[in-house]
Amino acid sequence: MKTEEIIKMIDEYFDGELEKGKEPILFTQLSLNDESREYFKAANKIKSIIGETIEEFPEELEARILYSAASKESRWFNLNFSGNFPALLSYAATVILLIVTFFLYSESINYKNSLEVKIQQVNDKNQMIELLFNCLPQAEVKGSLENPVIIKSKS
Amino acid sequence: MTRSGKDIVEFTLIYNRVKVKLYNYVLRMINDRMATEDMVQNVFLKFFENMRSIRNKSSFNFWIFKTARNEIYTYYRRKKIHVDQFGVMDSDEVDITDEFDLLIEYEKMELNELILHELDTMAYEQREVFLLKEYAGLSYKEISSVMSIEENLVKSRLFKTRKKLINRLGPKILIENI
Repeated sequence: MKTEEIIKMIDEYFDGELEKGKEPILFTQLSLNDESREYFKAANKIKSIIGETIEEFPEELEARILYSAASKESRWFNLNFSGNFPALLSYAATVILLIVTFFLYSESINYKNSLEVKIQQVNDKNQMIELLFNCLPQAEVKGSLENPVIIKSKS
Repeated sequence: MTRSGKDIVEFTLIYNRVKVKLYNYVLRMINDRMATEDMVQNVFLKFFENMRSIRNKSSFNFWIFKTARNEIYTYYRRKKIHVDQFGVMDSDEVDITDEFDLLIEYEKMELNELILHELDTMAYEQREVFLLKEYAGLSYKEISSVMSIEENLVKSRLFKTRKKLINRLGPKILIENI
């Protein structure tokens, strides 16, 4: 492998972007190539020096930021509701309307369900009546002529 | 938990994860401690205000560093100072116990200052990429989105910056056994 390619891998390694699978290849190449080994040592040293220059977050700044964030949050509430009666009223009305809507919706769902049950019951009864009709014995109707009919002429 | 309560918890988590990185990135970019503190505070407060409007939660890092970068540009514009002519770092106090520690501490400080000085003399774009990588800990992809440049350009700038640092400081840092 060329030195340039190894150096490119070293850069990716120190940037935390080298694939884990390529790390053994890099270290094998480093053991074979003096120039890239020197580059690795120097890059490693720079990385550690950079690490030493990282400063801690100032405590006063932390307190300032958290205090400002907290006051912004309470200010947001104050701006939106406190001292702004119409906004508070409309917010409350919206919440109430939302609750009423949910209540009515659930009621209509219940009504729909009970209606479906009733329809099913009517259909069942209807089928039962049809069955009962079909179960009745066959009726035979006979006609009989017991009285003789006398037909007389007018003359 | 209320929505605002959730927001505060989420903000605190992200804030704790990013604060040191952001502070060091801004500090090295502008080399002015007071201005850095104001800027970091502004960025975090803007982030807190806009948290709800950021739909993609994974882009919080991008949003914070992009905003910080914009603040840095605004700062430069307001001050009308060329990026290379920027101020000098505040001196750090050295906490030592004996003479040997004192020597090591001074040598360390010398190297740290050398690297920081070398970074200050570099082209602004190169320095910015390097700081976003080393101090902010962003990936190539994140740096490319924050700076609106190609990922390959990020790689090449990082490579050039590191090589320049090694060329200038290499012999010194390899000889020094600290």
